[in-house]
Amino acid sequence: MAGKRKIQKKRRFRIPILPLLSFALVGLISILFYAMSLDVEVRAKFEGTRWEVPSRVFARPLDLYAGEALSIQDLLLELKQLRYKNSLIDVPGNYFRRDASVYIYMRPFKFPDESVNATRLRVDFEEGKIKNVINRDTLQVVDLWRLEPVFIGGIYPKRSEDRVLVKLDEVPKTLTDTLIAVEDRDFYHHFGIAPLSILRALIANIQAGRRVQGGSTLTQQLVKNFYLTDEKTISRKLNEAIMALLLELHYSKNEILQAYLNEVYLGQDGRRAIHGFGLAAQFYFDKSIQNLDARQCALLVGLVKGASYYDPRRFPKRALVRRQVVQKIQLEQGIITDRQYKAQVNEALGVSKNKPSGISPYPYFLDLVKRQLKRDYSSKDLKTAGLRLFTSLDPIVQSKAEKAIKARLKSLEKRQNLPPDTLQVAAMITNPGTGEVRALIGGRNFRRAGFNRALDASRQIGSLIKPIVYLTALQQSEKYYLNTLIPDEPVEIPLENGENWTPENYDKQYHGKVSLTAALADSYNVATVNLGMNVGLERVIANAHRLGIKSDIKAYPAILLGATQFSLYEITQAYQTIASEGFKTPIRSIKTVTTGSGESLVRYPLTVEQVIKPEYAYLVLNAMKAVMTHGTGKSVYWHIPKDFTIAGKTGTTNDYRDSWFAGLTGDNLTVIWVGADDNRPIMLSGSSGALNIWSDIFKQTGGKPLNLIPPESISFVKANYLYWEKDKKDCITNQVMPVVTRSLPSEAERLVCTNE
Amino acid sequence: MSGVAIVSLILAACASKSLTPGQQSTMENHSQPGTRGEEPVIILPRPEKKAYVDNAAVRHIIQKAKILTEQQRFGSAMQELERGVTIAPNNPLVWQSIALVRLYQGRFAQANQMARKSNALSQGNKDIMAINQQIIASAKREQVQNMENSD
Repeated sequence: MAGKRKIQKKRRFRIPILPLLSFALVGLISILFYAMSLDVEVRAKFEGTRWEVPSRVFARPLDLYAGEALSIQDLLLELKQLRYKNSLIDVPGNYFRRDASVYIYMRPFKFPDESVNATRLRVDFEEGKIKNVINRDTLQVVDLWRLEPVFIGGIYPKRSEDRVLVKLDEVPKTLTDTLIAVEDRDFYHHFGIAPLSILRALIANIQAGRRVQGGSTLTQQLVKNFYLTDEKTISRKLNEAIMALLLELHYSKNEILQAYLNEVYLGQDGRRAIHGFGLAAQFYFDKSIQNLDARQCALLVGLVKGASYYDPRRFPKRALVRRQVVQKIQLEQGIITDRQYKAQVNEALGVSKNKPSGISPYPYFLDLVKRQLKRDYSSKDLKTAGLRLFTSLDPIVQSKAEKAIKARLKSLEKRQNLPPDTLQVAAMITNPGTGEVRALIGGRNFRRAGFNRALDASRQIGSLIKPIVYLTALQQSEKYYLNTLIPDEPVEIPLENGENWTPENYDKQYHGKVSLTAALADSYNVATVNLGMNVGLERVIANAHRLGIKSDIKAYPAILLGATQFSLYEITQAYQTIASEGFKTPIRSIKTVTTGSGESLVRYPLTVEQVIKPEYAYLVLNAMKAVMTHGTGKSVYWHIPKDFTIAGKTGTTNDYRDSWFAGLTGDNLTVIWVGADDNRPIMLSGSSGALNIWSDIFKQTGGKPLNLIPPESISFVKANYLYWEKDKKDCITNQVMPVVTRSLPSEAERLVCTNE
Repeated sequence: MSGVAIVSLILAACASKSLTPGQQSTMENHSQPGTRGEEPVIILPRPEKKAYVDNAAVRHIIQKAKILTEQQRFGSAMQELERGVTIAPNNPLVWQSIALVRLYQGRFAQANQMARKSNALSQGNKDIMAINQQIIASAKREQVQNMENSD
C-alpha cells in the first residue's frame, strides 16, 4: 500500500512538460507573429514617406546687376524680408551698409538650376541705381548675381507639422555629438534598448521620488514619436521596445540618427509645430543647420527635453540654464574645449527676436499659387510632399503696394464720408514682358486669407472695356485712324425687348465729333457706343476673348460700356496681351517646382501666342497714352514727372459703384479695383479712386517709363486731332500720328479739323 | 531640323548680337505716294530708335543660355532667358535667343511665336529680322513635316 501511495504521490507532483511546452510554443509563435506584424509597420513607415512635409513657397530671387534701378532702401527691405542681420559680415546671413555700398554675406542656396555657396558681396549704388556688384571672395566685378529668394509661406497639412528635412552629412558634427552625449551616450553601442540605462533611470527616479531621468534610447524616442501615441501603458512600452529592436535590426545607426534629427519636436508657432533640427535652426536663429555654432547646438539639443518648458523666447532664463547644462556636457565629453566653454557659457541665447512665421504674409498670392498648381498636383501632395515652389512674387513691390493701398483707402473713406472699412480693394501687378505676377492684393486685410477679390469677385468693368472696342476699330486700318472723327452725338439703340437704349456721357453732355483718340482719352460713352456699333458687337466680343477674357459675354450694346462682369484677373490678362505687343502671355505665378532636395519637377515656362497684330496693339497703346496726357488720367501728372510715359485707362460703373484703373509703365502692368462688397455706390470714379492708388503705389515703387517700340509695319504722318477742351472744340494740329503703312490716310483724313 | 542648320542659326544670331541699338542698320525713311488720297502722303522719318536694355547682365544671360543650349540643357537655358526678359523686356535678342532654344528643343510652334515677338521689337534691324525669318521658316517647315509624318 505504502509503495502504491508513493507512486500516486509521485504522479501528483509530475510537471506537465508537454502542455507547458505547447503553451510556451504557442506564446512564442504569437509573439513572433506579433513582432512580424510590427516589423511590417516599422519598415513600411521608415522606408515610405516618413513625414508629411509641407510645401515651401519662395518669392522671386532678386537679381543684382549694374544699371538696375534699385535703391539702397529697396535692397535693405529685401534683406530684411530675408531676415538678414545688420551686423559684421562674419557669418552668412549678415550684412551692413557703409555710405553708398551694402556688404552682404549671402547664405548658400539651392536654386532650381544651380547651388550657390555662401558668398560675400559688395553692392555699390549711384543715383538710385546699382553701380557695381563685386564678389568679395574673388574680388571680381560680376555681371549678374541673384540673392536667395524670400520664403513667403508654407502649404501645410492639417496637423500643421512643419519641418525642413536635412541629411546627416549636412548636420554639424557638434550637433550630433552633443545630442548623443546628452540623450543617449551608448547610442552607437546598444541594440535599440539599453537595459542598464533603464535601470539607472529607475534608481534615480526612485531616489528623487519623481521622474528625473529617462532611460529611453534615441531609437526608442524615435519609435515613440514616429509610430506610437503618448499613452503610458505597459503594452505601449513593450511595443516601443520591440519596435526599437526591429528598427536597429533593419537600419544603420546613421539612418536612425538622421530620422531622429528630422522627427524630434522642438517648438511651437501658433498651430504650427516645429519639428526637426533643420527647421529649428531657422526658427530660432534664422540660419541653415550647417551654420549653427556650438552654443546654438547646445540650446537646440537642450530643447529636446521639453521644447515648450524651455522655450527660449518665452522663458529665456530657463532656457539659458538648460543650455549651460548642455554646454557643461559638451565640455566633459570633449566636444568643445575649455577655452570655448569659458568664452561661450555666459553668452546670450542669440535667438532671433521675431520668429519667422510659417503663416504666409501674402495669403492672397498663395491662394493664386495653389490654384495654378492644382492643375498638376493634388492638394495632398502640396501639403505633404515637401515640394519647393519658386514663384514670381516681388516682395518689395508687394509690400510697397500694400502700404500705399492701406493709407489711400483710409483717406478715401474720410474724404467720401464713408464709414471705416467700407471700401474694398483688389489689385494685380504683372511684368508686361513675362506675364509674371509681381504683386497681388485680394482685399484690404492683407494678412488674412479670405474672399480673394482679385480672382473671385466678378464686377462690372465699366470703361476698362473701351480699349478693346477701340482696338477692334483700329484693326479696320483703312477706315479708322487715331484721329478719325467719331460722333459723340445722341444715339438710340433699339434693343431686343423693343425698347430703345440711349447711352449718356458721365458729364451728361454731347461733344459732337471728336477724334478717336480723344473719345478714348476722355472716355466718352456715346462716341464709344457709336464706334462699337459700327465695328460690330461680335467683333468686339471676339477680340475680348482673343485677348484672354474667358467669361461668357452676351452681345448686348451695353457691353461696349463695360456692363459685363469680369474678374480683375481676367481683365488683367486682356491688358497683358495688349501690353505685350498683341502676344498673349499667360499670367503666371509659379516658375518652377522642385522636390525638397532640389530636383526639378515641373517648369512653367514663358509662352507667347500672337493673337493681335503688333501694329494694332501699338496704335491702341498710343491712344491709351493720350488717356494719361490729355484725358481722364491726366491728374497723374500732378504727382509724377510729365515726361514719364504711361499708357492707361480709367473705369467707372453706374452710380459710382466700381472704380478701376489699369496702368502700364516700362516694367509694370497694374490693374486696380476699388468698391464695396455689398455693391453700394462709393461715389468714386476711376480717376478719383483707383488712379490715386496707382499714383501712390508708383510713388513708392518708381519704375521705368513705357518704351513703346513701333513695329516695322507702322509709319508716321503729320495729322490733326480734334479734342474737346473746357467746353469747346480744340483742334490740335501738326501732330505725329502712327498709322499702319499699308493703309495710309488721305489728306482729308489726316487734317481732320482744319476746316471745323 | 538638322543640327548643322541650327548651329549655323545660332552662329548667325551671335554675330547679330554685336549690334547695339545705336549701330543698327537703319530702315530707310522715304516718302511714298498715298494709297488713297490724290496728294502723296508725306511719311515722316521714324522717330529715333528706342534704346532697349542691353547691358552686361543681359549679354551675360544670352551667352550663358547659348552654352546651356549647346549642352542641351534647355530648361536651364529658358530659365536664364526668362531672367533676361524680366531685365530687358524690349530686347529683341533675348526673344530671339528663346526662339532658338525652342527650335533646338523641337518646340516649333513656340519657336515661331518667339521669333515673331523678336521681330515686333526689332525696330528694323535687318540682321535680327533675317535670323528671325529663318527661324520662322524652319519652324514652319518642321511643323509641316511633323504633320505629314503623323498622317
